Amino acid sequence: MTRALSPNALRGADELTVIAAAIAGDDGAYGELVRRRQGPIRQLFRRLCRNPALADDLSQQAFLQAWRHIDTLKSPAAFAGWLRRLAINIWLQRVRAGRPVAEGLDDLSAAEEPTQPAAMLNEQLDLDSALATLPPTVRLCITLAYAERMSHREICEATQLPLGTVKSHITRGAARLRDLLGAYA
Amino acid sequence: MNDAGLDPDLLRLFAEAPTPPEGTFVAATIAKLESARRARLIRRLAGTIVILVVAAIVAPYVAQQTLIAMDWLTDRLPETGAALASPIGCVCAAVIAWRIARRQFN
Repeated sequence: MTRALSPNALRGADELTVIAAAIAGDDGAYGELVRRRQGPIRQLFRRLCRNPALADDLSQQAFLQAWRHIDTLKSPAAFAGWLRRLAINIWLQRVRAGRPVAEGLDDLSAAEEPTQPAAMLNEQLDLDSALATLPPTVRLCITLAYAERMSHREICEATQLPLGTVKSHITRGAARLRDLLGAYA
Repeated sequence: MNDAGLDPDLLRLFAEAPTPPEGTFVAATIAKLESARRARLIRRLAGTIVILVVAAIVAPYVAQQTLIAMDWLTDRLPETGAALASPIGCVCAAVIAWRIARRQFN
């Protein structure tokens, strides 16, 4: 039986300690992990589906699924990659089920916080609009390569796509983005 | 990490993307986790109750059939029957049952 850490101890604890506590069944520790990891996971889904509400729903699904299966995780150090793979699988299942995965520009511009300089916001909106024109699997490969900085092989393992397909998606997707964002350079 | 062939301008654009603010997301997710935890607890309790009820219904029948089988064994194989019914036989059976149960639940 593992003693649960107090909220203060959790806030100050290093990531591996928190993950180990969550694996041992400490739900407070898992809540702390949600707080620490929500940014990257929500950002990944926002990139993929451009709808903040849908992205948050999918992120919650990912965290729920991770909570259900966290006791199967062998090494605390593998948590971040494992959670990301769960998120990728959730999105791929949605794509394969033929459910909507990308929304129009209006939803995003209404929901974004206008706290950044206008030029940067426009640049990001341009990038998001350009990304949305890519087919779902190409968008996924581009996002994993450029936003998550995953190698081709890692993307291949996470998406179960052949290595050649991953490389071609990234090359052709980046070329398409460069065309669409011609003015950014 | 393999950055070979990645466009530096695109990399910069992706890196500049703001992280979404925490807002109510964490509280909403923790509330969902709480309800999932309650649902899991209820499922486990219901499962345990079902097992106990089924065991209570089936136990007399199983005991009766066991006695019949033991009778049959002791009638036909006096030595084996006596060995099974002896304290050592009972301990061996208990050990085997315990090992099977451990393998089942681990």
